[in-house]
Amino acid sequence: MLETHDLRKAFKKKVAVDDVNLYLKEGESVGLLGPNGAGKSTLISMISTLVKPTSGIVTWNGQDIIKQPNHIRPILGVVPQEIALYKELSAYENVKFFGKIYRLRGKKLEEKIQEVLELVGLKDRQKEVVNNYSGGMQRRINLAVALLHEPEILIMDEPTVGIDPQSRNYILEMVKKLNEEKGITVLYTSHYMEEVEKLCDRIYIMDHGKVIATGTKDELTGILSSEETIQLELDQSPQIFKKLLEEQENVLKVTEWEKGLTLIVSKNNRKLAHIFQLAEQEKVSIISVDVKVPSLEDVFLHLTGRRLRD
Amino acid sequence: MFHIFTLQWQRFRRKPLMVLAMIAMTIVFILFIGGANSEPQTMIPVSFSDDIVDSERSGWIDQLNELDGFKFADTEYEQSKERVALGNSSFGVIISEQHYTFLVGTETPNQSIVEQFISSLYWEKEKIDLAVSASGDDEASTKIEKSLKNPPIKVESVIGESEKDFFIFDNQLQALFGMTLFFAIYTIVFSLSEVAEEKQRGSWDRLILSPVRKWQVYLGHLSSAFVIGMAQMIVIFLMFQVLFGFDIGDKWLEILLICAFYTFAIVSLGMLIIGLVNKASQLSAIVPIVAVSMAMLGGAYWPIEIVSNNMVIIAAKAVPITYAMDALKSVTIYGNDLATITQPLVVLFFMGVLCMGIGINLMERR
Ligand SMILES: Nc1ncnc2c1ncn2[C@@H]1O[C@H](COP(=O)(O)OP(=O)(O)OP(=O)(O)O)[C@@H](O)[C@H]1O
Ligand SMILES: [Mg+2]
Repeated sequence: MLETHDLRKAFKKKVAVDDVNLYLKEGESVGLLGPNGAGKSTLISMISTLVKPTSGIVTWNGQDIIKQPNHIRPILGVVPQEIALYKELSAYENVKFFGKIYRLRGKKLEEKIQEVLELVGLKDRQKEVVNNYSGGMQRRINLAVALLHEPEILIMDEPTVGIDPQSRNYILEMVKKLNEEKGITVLYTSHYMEEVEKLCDRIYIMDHGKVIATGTKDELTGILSSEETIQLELDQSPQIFKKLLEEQENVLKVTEWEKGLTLIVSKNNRKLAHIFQLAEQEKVSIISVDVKVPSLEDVFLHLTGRRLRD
Repeated sequence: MFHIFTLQWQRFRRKPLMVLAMIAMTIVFILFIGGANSEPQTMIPVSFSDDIVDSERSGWIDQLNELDGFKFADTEYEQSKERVALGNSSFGVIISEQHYTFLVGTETPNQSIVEQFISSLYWEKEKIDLAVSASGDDEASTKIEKSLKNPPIKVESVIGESEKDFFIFDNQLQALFGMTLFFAIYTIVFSLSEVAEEKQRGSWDRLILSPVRKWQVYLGHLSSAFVIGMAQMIVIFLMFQVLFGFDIGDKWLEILLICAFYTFAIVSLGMLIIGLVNKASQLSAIVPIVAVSMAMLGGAYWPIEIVSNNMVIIAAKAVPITYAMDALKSVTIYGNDLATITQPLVVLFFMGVLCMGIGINLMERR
């Protein structure tokens, strides 16, 4: 098991990671969710022994890996947030170089190279220079390199950021397979809700360097079990109506979306009738009403008052 | 380490433009400043008046050529005049039995060195003649010459008050060495900037997590920058020796050593600069400032010997170029050997060690 205890990282003025406790059991797939600047990258850099924490410890099966990083490095596969490749070289040359660095040689090296290129679906185009690849293909090679030495733990920092949906799905499916079929432990960082929802057994939500919520998807949405989300589509600018709704006792939060308003309300009272009544009174016509099961997005909204991708 | 080194070469083959551009720039500037004429300016035409018979002439030329740093060549008077007039040689000499004459185009400090030397030849010759006529023995002349070659006590004459008052200015070699050392700074530091880029790109993290040790990663980058820098300098030296007929001489071992120590110092300086700036992109602003000011101080643009400002002379002591220029000139123009250049080499080495230490420390702190 990989654990952090009160892990903290402070830069000159800024506390990037604020006493974080998390754990990762073998074979688990864990998501780390948070908006830009939440401290995700800093946290996983410390877990991957690349950055020294200001305080706190990280252990792998009880051993302190900050003092003894070599306990974990050989079984760690890290996918950096950047495209950490030599772009003027071909995909094949990149993978080969990192294979050699991991002391793979000869036939074994060649086999491994072809295996990971196959896995990321770029076997046919391996001779092309990475610079000429699309963003999605570059991301896939970025991932392939981390798999060469058959890691037991795969740590990924936003591996799908800024790419087309097709490549994104490809990567997600791949990681899911690696986790389910090969039993690789996965720590997956993202600010896309739906990726984490789809991929991960457990989720940590981070904001401003702190873990603000943790649990399975059901546990997290359970936070909102006493609440409901109502989405209203309106025919006009809702400013006055919004104010009015905010004043209502049972309405906990009101936010705007393109076509209207989203309300979070306490459960079990006759809120819908009440809302219709108010609308009529204000001469606002409601085009549609949608009562939703809460999503992680709503959990985040609930906890921080902000959307994930602000 | 080996893999990281070879990786740099693999990448270099894909984008050799920077290094090729630097070599091209060096060539253009050397030709522009040093001139492309096949004979060096230190070629001095020597003509003889009629009172010196043909058989004596080659003896004169041989004697004159014992002076290091110049090449004296038997030339017809008319041709001598033309050479000097065209500025291909800064002056010429006419030798007569009793006196000598200078054909002067431009005044250079070299002239006084040559004059001192020629007058000493006359002085010596006169002594021999006197001895011969006094003894009336024809063979005495050769005996005396022999004994002069192996004197029981040798008195070295010092020219001028200090050596610095007289220096041989070889425009071609000055340009060749100055520009080569100057442009090599760019190549070396920009090759090294790969370290900074690697850190920004995140591939550094991959290397750190791999079984490769951190010092091996550094060494891979350092050695590849070193080899590229060395190769650039040697290619240029060879090219000018072979294609453009510059007279570098044959002390290649010494020249290689000087290049190696200089490259080491610049590689280390590069590490220091990269340690100081945060981003690889800032380098393109910093490197020219550092390179140009070092070249000015260290005598890459003009000979440091003509600088009289004490501040500049003191500042020059902190610049690697100064020592490399000094050592290269010492070996090529003055024909000195390894023993004479150990001091500049040692200084370059310690400069390198110091910068490297500070540079790596700065990098590791971030
Ligand atoms: N080396 C550093 N020096 C100073 N501050 C830093 C450094 N690295 C990160 N920070 C700060 O720490 C905070 C957390 O950064 P971090 O990169 O961990 O966030 P993140 O969650 O990964 O964000 P993103 O989604 O943009 O990648 C940010 O405010 C950032 O500015
Ligand atoms: Mg990040």
